[in-house]
Amino acid sequence: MAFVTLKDVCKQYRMDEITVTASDHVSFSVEQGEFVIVVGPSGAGKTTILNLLGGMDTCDSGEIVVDGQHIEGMNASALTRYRREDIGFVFQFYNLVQNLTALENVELSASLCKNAAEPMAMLEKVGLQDRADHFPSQLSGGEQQRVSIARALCKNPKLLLCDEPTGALDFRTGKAVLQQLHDSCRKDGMTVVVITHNSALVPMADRVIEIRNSTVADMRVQKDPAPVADIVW
Amino acid sequence: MKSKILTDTLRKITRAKGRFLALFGIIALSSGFFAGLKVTGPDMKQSAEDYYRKTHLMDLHLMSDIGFNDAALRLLQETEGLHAISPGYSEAAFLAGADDAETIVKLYSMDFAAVREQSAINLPLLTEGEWPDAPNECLIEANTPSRYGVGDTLTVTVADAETSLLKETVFTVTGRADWSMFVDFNRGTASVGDGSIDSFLLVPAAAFEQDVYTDIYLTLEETQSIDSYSDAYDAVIKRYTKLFEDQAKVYVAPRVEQVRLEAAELLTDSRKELDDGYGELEENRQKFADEIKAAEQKLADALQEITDGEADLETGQAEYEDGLAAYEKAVAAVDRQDADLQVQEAAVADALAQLADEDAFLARLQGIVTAYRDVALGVPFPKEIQALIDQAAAYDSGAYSLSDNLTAYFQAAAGSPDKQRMEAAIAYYIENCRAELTNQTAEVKRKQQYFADARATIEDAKERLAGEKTTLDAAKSQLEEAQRQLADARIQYDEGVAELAEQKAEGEQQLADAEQKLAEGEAEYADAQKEIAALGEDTHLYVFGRAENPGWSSYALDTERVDAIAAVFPLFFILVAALVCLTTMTRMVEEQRTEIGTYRALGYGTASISVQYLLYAAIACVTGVACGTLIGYQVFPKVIFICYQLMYRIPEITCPYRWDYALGCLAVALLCTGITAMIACHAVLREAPSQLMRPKPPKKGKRLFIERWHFLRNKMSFRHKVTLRNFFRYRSRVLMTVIGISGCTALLLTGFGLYHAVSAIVDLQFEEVFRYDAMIAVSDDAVQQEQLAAALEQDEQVTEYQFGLIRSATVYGEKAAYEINIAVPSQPESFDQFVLLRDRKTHEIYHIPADGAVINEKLAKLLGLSVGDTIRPEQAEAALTVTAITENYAGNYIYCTPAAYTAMFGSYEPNILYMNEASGTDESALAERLLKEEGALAVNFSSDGGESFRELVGTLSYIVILVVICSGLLALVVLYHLSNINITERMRELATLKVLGFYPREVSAYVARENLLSTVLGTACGLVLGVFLCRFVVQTAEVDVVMFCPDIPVYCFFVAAALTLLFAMLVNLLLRPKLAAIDMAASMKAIE
Repeated sequence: MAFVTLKDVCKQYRMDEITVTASDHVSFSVEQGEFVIVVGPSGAGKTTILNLLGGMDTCDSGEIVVDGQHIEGMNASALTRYRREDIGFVFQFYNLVQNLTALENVELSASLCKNAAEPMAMLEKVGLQDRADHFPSQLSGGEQQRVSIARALCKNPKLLLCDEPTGALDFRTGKAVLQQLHDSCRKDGMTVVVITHNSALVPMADRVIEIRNSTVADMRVQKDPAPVADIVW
Repeated sequence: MKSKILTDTLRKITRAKGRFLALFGIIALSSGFFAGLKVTGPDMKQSAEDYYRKTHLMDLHLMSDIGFNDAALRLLQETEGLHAISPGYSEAAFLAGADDAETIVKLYSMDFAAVREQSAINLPLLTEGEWPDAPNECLIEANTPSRYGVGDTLTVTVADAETSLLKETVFTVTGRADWSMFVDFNRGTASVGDGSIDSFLLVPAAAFEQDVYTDIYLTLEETQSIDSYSDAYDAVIKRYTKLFEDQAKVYVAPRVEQVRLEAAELLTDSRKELDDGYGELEENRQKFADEIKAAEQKLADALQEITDGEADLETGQAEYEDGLAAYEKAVAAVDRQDADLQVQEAAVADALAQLADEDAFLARLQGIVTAYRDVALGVPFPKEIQALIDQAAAYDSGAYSLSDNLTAYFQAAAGSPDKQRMEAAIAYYIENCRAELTNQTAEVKRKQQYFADARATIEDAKERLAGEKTTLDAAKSQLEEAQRQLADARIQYDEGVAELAEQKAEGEQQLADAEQKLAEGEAEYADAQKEIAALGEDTHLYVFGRAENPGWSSYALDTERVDAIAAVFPLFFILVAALVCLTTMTRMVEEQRTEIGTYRALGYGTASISVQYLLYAAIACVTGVACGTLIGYQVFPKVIFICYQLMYRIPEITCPYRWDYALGCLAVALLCTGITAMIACHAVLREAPSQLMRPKPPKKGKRLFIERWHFLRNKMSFRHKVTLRNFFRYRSRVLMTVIGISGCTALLLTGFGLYHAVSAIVDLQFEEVFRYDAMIAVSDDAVQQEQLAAALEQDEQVTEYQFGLIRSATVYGEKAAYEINIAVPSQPESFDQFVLLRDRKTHEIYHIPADGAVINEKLAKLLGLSVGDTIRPEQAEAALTVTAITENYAGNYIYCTPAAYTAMFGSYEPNILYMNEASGTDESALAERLLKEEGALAVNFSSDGGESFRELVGTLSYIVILVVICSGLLALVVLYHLSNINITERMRELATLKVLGFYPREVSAYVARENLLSTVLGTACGLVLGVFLCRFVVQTAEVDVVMFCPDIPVYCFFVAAALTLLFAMLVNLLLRPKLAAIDMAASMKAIE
């Protein structure tokens, strides 16, 4: 059985009298240690998949299995525990706590789970050991995103979910961030799911899942992904 | 286009109901609280004004020393500007009945015909029953002893029957009324009894002798349209008062003339009386002198008699002595003669015996010789013969040689011659001897006769002497009798002298007294003469306004006191409300910067965009103020008026809708919200639309200075760090929370503090300061007082008692005159058993000084006195030095010794008695026992005294509850509102935390910690602030005769703080669902 499996996942949002189908029988699977890119145009339902997979929302029907755990039936408390212990999140806008330094932001996350990594070591890993005492407002966007990655990784999550991690970054820093994510996948065997509308990133993925009209249009495994350095957009 | 903006505004309201409700709520609450409290004073005043107007309360009240007659009334009626004038009668009297000793009522006449037409001045308002008709019917009032009800009969006793104007003394109660002349429960003073009138009775004028009016009431044309608590009214009253006072002579003249005539007549009489008195005195003096003279003469005679008697006695004594001496001499002579005679008588008796012997011998001799004529005897002769011969030898001395012859005879033989011769010789001898013997015997017999004569003479003398002796003894006893009589006479005389001296002194005293009395009469006469002469000069016209009615001015002052509280209490509300409006509007504008940018990008002008927010603010303000004032205008005046009705008899309160305050509130609210909205809009609109579309950069994080301390930094978890950093990061919001919360705490503390300040004084006053269990009004009769003391001494339930004096007096301060009490215990050294004089803070116990006074704290404050200053009540002849200032809450007291009191007022007569009873005493039984004593007029137990006060305090709890509810609402609104903003502003951060896996309670703790910190800080500030606020409110709420307990007890702080924290926790609870509702998807969104 695959590490992550989604099977016939459906999700509808009701807004007054309008019903919007966000996920329509979505099915895919991901193997452990893969670098996965979920790609699709705006409004295709990528974020819904991220929300469901990250335990931020529940599906109406279907199965979501992560490392043998069924998430679809979990209650709010179990979902919180799932987010807390099994999931690492990297946001488009970094979402660092403005009132905490880089190191403290990592510590905040580390305090949430038992087998957390040493926060400073994590910062070293993302190359920000010198900026540990700086506040988010004193860091550049790329640096903030690296702090955000360190924050996600220090929990030793089973799954690293990244929502448009380069969306707010320029090309160069965006690449550095991608390199960082790729490194953690390759070096530490982390399963990384990156959600993006930018199809230029597709070549670097082990597995590409294309979403269109709220469903999986295509899923392919790339035997020989291109190195990050070759990616251009 | 405009309508779209309106639509958008209305949508804004309905979409974010919470925000609008918060804005609306805070505006409604603060405007209601502010306006409600603000109008309370004016509403109360207005209600009183309405009451006065409706009852045609007099503007001026005229009195004079001697009343007015009809001529005077006619003069007064001619005064310009009068609206109405009404003469009347009044008199103070005692309410008769066993339980009503010392209950003083004042009877006022009322023209009930005019009352029925509602046209009378000082119209009473009937609350029960009917108007009186007959002269012996009356109306009672709220103060009347509760035993009397409608239909009952009451009897009054006039104080001075001679001067009383009352014709009726027994009245049937036909109804009960309120009278605008007396708006509180004070009924003024009178010169009878203890001087304090307890209640009034309204009776028809026919109940009085109707020749001299005692009072004249006036209403003025000018004041009909002026409120009487206004300066304009004061000015009019002042003008008319001056007018009447200037013309006083004119108005009193008719009555003065009348009195002068009556007095002159009286004066003539008294002159005659005095002259008679002088004549009588002279007569008495003469009579007295005569009497004394006669008595003295009598005594002199008696003395002469005694002296004479004594001289006689002396003479008698001497005579007696002489008689006695002569008598004793005579007795001695007789005794001597007697003795001599006895010797001679014995000699005669001897001689007679010798003669008898010789005769017997001769006879025997002759016999023997004869016998022996025939016998011759030899020698020795027989013994008989020999004895005869021996005897013969003794008798015959030899001349007759008898013995020889005899011898011879016997020897001779019978018939011998010798014998014959011898016989013849012997015979011869016998014959001779016999003859001689006869001679001798005759001689002796003659002598014997002589001596017998002598004896008779002596016996006679003796007899005579015995007679003399008896006479002498009689004389002696006579003398002794005379002596005793003289001694008695002497004593009587001495007594007589003493008696006379006494009578003389007495008589002289009587004369002197009579003279003194006459002198006094003369002085009185002179005074009366002078008085009559000065009648015109000394007769005053007294002009009183409404301000002299008891309670009239204090009601206005008390309503102003409400104003003062109203000025402070709502300040916090306004401040907090302004802050809340400020943040809400700022926040709203900032939240919608993107939208504003869009509007601008679409081409809307700045004005139309601003209008949208102004409109929003205006809707909130108008609805909030309308709702707040509608409720506040009713609730606050009515609740507070109900409390005041315990002190004032004003029938009802009207609460009109006052546009001025409502519009004022609206203006302030619009200013706060509108201007904020404008400023916020302006700041946003200044930026270029493109910039507005972009997210506003988040506020920068900052390290706190306290984090420099490493130990602190290491100790704090970063969650606490975040709390602290956020705390300082959102300074303005925290400041607002702190202000709001501190306001809430301060209000709570003030509420509880005020409650305690008032409620505590009941126990402090009646348990700690006034320690006596009962105070007895005693009669001024010294004998009855002694009897009462004896009864108390014997009563087992009475432990201690002491006489004392309490009277009221006036003292003048810088601003006003104060009615105070002077308390004078008869034994100041043991006074602390009954009233404890001590320092409020240190509890140092004071004693009443010999020549100074102890005054209470409130009085000291009113008069601005401190220890060492002097105080001098009105009419006192001396001032007292204040030596201590004592704790006291109800009433104002000067405590001094009887000596000091005497120095001030001339004499000291106890009129009350302090008493303590044993525990478990049946007070009503004790009272009954005590009242049986004539000396006890009334018994007041302390346990009853506190009761009425406690009721007053009970009503205060309503106000406290009001304050607590308002404060709670304030705390809730402020905290909820600000927390809400806090959450909305940090939605993204909180969503992120949730995504990171924070449990709900961790998220709420994350927010609650900040709230809690500001709440604690606010509470701390509020407790400090509350102390000052409470002090101010307590001081403002105090009246002259009461001092509230100014200390706030510790529990109030705890309760205020605990309630505030409770409200804060409640808010945190309310926020939980809000936090739970935060959508994690928000974390994904771009920064807006």
